[in-house]
Amino acid sequence: MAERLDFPGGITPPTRKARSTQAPLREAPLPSRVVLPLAQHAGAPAEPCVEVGQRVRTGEPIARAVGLVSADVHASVTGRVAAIEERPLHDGGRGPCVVIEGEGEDDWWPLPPLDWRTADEASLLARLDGSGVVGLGGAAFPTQVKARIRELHEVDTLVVNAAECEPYISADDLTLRHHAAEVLEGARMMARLAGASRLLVGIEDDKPEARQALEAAIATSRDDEPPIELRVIATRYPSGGERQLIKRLLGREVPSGGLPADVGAHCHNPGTLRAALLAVRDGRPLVDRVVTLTGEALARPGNVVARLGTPIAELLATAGLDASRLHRLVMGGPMMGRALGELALPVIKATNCLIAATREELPDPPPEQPCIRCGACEEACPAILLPQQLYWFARGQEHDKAERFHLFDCIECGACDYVCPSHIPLVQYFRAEKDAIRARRREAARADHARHRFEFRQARLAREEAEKQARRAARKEAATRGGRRHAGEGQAAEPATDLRSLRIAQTAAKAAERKAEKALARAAESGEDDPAVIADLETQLATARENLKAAEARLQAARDAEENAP
Amino acid sequence: MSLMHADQSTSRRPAATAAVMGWLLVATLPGIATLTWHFGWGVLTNVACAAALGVGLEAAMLRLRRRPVAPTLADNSALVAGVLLGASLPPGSAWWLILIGMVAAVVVAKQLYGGLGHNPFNPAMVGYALLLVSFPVPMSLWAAPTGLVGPEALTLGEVLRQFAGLVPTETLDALSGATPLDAFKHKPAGVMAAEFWAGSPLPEGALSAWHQVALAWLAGGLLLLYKRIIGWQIPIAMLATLTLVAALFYGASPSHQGSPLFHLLGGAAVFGAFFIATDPVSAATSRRGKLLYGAGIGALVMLIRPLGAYPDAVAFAVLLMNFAVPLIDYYTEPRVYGHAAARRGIKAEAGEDGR
Repeated sequence: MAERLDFPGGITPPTRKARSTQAPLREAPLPSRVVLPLAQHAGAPAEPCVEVGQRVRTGEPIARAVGLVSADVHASVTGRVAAIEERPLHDGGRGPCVVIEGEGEDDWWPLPPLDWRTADEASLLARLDGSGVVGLGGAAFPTQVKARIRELHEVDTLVVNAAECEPYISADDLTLRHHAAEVLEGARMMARLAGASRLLVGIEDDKPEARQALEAAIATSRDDEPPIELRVIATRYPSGGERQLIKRLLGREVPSGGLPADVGAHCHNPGTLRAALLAVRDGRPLVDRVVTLTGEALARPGNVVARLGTPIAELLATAGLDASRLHRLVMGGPMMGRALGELALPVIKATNCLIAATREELPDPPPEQPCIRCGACEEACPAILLPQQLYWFARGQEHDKAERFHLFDCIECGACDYVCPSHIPLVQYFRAEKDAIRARRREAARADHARHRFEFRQARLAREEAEKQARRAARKEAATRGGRRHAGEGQAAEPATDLRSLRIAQTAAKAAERKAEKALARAAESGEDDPAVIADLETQLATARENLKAAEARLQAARDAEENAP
Repeated sequence: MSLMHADQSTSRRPAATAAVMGWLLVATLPGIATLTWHFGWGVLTNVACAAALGVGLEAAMLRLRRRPVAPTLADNSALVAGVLLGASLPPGSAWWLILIGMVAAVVVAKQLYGGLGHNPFNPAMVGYALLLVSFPVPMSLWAAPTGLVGPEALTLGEVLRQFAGLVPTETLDALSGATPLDAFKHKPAGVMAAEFWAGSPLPEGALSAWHQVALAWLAGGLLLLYKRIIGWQIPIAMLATLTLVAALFYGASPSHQGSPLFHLLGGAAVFGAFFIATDPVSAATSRRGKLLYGAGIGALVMLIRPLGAYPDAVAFAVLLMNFAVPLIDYYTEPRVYGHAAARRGIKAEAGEDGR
């Protein structure tokens, strides 16, 4: 094989998973009060559809998706809406949240069960849309949007990303140990939606129990289509990165700036697949998720099924948090997760892991030292970048060079941070540099947007003019025809322009429209969260449509004239 | 960003800069020990003086630049520059020679450019090249391999007198012997290589002493490779190219040119390949770039040795290739994941391609 079936670089940090995998998956106690942020998914925040004081049942929608990329939010307990207000969020900012005061009862708001094998695709998608299912691996991208992949791409392989390569996290591991069959059924359902004929499960070799559960589930569903292939890969971070896993399992490389679907692959996390299946099969919207509770400051680490919105402090208390030993609270893994400032924040859809670490466990990094360009980062980089050069450009604000050296292909996995002997927080520099470049692009985009609005106006005026002309010509035609009937021989109507060039213009306008549509769809699909970008693409699409209408009107007028000419 | 760090795992490669430099120092021990064994106390006075000056000058410069002194000194990099320059100088060099060399290395080549990580040129080689050009006589008086304890060995006291600059140059000249490369280079044009060797113009045991020193540096270099402190690319590319070019010269005129083995082990080639050219700060950075960089040094060394004015040329070759590093770095970027092919160099107009 010419192409190496693996990604380069990577690191093997201590996995520290054993602490949270000893106990079986358990149900966390029902919280008495939940806080549900309206922006807990990638894309636009949802719009609340309940009022303060209203009684809501578990699973009842409390906020609806807005725009192309967004997701519904559902009540995770039964109770009364106590407040809809701005509250602190996990990224350090603030955002709108719905607060529900629970009654202690769990009264479900029912949705009719669906059979995914027989239901039509539109109703399956509508169910996913209405159930608020998002990617539970941490990115929280709306699953429904991802499931529409077929509209734009040919997908042949659905990959179940069970690598779970980041240290500490074991939520997928435990999900598979307990619910492997449901995960695989969910995978078959998503494979049907994506049109994939092949199903691959990628799992790292440090999870033998999950692997056995998968093997057993595959054996019992041997006759179902499509067949499932289990691939066990050596433990190496970041093999759970979508691009890295696809390279490792399929030997395909996702093009820069593209999507896995560009190479015919589609990745889902096991937890997401199970949530999607439950939403369809049992009519159960996403109101809870598996959360790994771990870290040395916890007496009883493990994995729990927690309702969304449960205060983190409450959840950690059930695991025996020793607050005096807590040095750092991390949501997600130690490589890509974020340190949380306070314990009062709620569990959200992206909360796959909570690490209550002691000072000895995740110590404060020593002071940053100068880069000696030793190249350790380069050897660790799974994207084959030159982090030492990017660091140099980022520090020097050399935006062009940073882009030229492919800064935007950095997946921010933190492998370079991990190996840097000078303890340089490289990913921090890269994020800041990306932000700086994006800000510069936004400036340019604003100027472009103004131009596009002007072009739209011009196109609209041209279209109106063309339609007016066409109407006038039609009237004139009708008049001459009428006159001809009476007066016999009339003067020959002159074809305004030659048909051929008008046809070409119309085809070109149609192509432009399709291109604009595609650009918009692609932006939506890749989770473009800047509304200005979407608005600009929408303007461009509207311009293309105006141009098309104008071209069609002109063509139609010319055809009419042709037909009526002798 | 990663909250975990490699110091938490037990990997072969040291996880902190200070440890990297520490291992570098450890790796110089076999070479320095062998040099001392053959060339006497003068090696140790060189190294000790240069290392002390390195630390002192770095501290003084950091203070002048109002930078934190203690944490920066703790990275051991000044110590490394001192030890490397000290090991390159003729044994028993006078203190003022070492001082000038270290000022050029630490003050000019390193701190004036912004300190560790910012110097475009290898500090130790800047110091060495400056001395070689400015003080050719003391720099060519290489002590005869009289040994540390042999009958003709200089005592520590005599060496300290040399170090203090109290021994006149004529006396030093009498004590010194040419290095093999030097002697071979300056053999009369009519003398064939075979005649040269038969005439045994070198002090007794000099050639084998140099071979042993080269092998000792090689041992240290292998330790660095094993600890993954240096990559294999630069030393292998440099030594391979040097051998190849030497073989071409030798093949063209075996009667007058030195053999490839003579060039590999007779001078500073091995030391340069593992300890000088691999200085990551001033070397090319991508893996392919390192290959080119190492090959360039090897080729330049072997062009200067037979054709240039200097018998050994590692310092000049390294410095010349330091100049070429930015260019090499632009042209050797690896193919990034998700890109069909690597891009080469920087276009005048970056344009809007890519993302």
